[in-house]
Amino acid sequence: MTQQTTSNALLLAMPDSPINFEPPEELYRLLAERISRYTMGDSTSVPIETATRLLEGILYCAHINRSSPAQSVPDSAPLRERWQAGMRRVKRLTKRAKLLLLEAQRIQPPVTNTAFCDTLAALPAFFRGYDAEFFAHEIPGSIDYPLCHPVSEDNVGVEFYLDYLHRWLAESEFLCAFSPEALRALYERYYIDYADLLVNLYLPAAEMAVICALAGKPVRELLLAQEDYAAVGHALSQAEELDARRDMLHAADRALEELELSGTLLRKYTRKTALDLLTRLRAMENASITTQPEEETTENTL
Amino acid sequence: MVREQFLSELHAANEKSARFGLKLSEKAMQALAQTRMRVLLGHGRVELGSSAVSAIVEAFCDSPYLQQEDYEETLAELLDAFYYFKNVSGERLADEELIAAMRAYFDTFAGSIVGVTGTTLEAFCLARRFGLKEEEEKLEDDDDDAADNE
Repeated sequence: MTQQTTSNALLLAMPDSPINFEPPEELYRLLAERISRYTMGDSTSVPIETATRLLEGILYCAHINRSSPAQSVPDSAPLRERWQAGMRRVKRLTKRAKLLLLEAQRIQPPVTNTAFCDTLAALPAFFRGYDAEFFAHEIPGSIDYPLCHPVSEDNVGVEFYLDYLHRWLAESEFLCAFSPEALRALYERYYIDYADLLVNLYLPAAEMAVICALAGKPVRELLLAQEDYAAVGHALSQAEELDARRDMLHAADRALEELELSGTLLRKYTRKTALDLLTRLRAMENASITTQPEEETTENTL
Repeated sequence: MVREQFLSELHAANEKSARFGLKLSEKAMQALAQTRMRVLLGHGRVELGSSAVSAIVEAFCDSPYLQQEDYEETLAELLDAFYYFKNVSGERLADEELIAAMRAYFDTFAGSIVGVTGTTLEAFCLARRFGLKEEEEKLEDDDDDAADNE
């Protein structure tokens, strides 16, 4: 099997791979060495799927070295050095992820659901299955709980896990600012069966907090009178897009302030939730205008 | 680079097998290099460092059933069978173990490749894959029976 054939076979198995950016000779040698280490000398060959996974692991470590804020090894260095530096970074990130997991286990919302509890119980399995030496790009374990703003699909390996935990913690921290009664009442209105459905717990609370802030009402209660909904809906429908966006962002900030919450990620997260809510409200408003007679146009789109 | 490495391994293996009257010509070595590439791709396997061929040659060259006239053909068939059984065993068999088992069957069935590729070795590989013990014991029993027959 020639080197060209091998590379082509692996490229076919992994069409999106950045393999073309790495020197083929170096990549070949490193992959051959990793295969030998992986089989512990027991086998000279591996299935193409295993070779592809090993190759992806190498490329991921090279990538993580490149994307590191303090890139220790420059792109001009041999692949082996960049891979080793990347693997060291992966191991450091894994340690950081273990600390974040402890934090996630400690900070739990007053109300949870089955998906939340199952995922929390499954999160430690990542460390049992994660293999930074060979398959640093993989995400072992079952991470099912849907976050309000999911981790980018570009993130893999420990980077995915870390980002997931950061977002999970931001959501949990936000939910901890409310009483269980307020949350439960809200979920029952929003989801009906919040306990057993695979639903996000942060989203309704964040949206209601922003709406309460927009209406100038107490955020912690997560409750608005019908006329307050109508007033907020009317104000938003009358506002220009830029003004409406600004109002939503201010409302998100006010909600966090009232809840005595801070943190860059949580602020960004809640602001994004507020803007997404506006987009949805606008879409509902437009749909309502096109499907209803003019006199019935939505004043109470919320 | 890989082809050169493979041919150099074959040259080294040739020296060992020559002691038993078995030798591959340059043309046969080139053909075996092609065969290796074909069977690896066919079985969906990747072999980047040293090849299993020299281990196979070393393990089989003293078999009384291996003859110079069909040496090249037998080696190619053994190579094909080797990568096939690597897959069947689900990576649970080390090269050394598999080659030893293949050699045992080769001798038991008087140098028949069909004997090597037959169902018993497949059952042995499957048993290893699924963590069953009986098939290994059966193989050992077969070896004992073969030794008794001899």
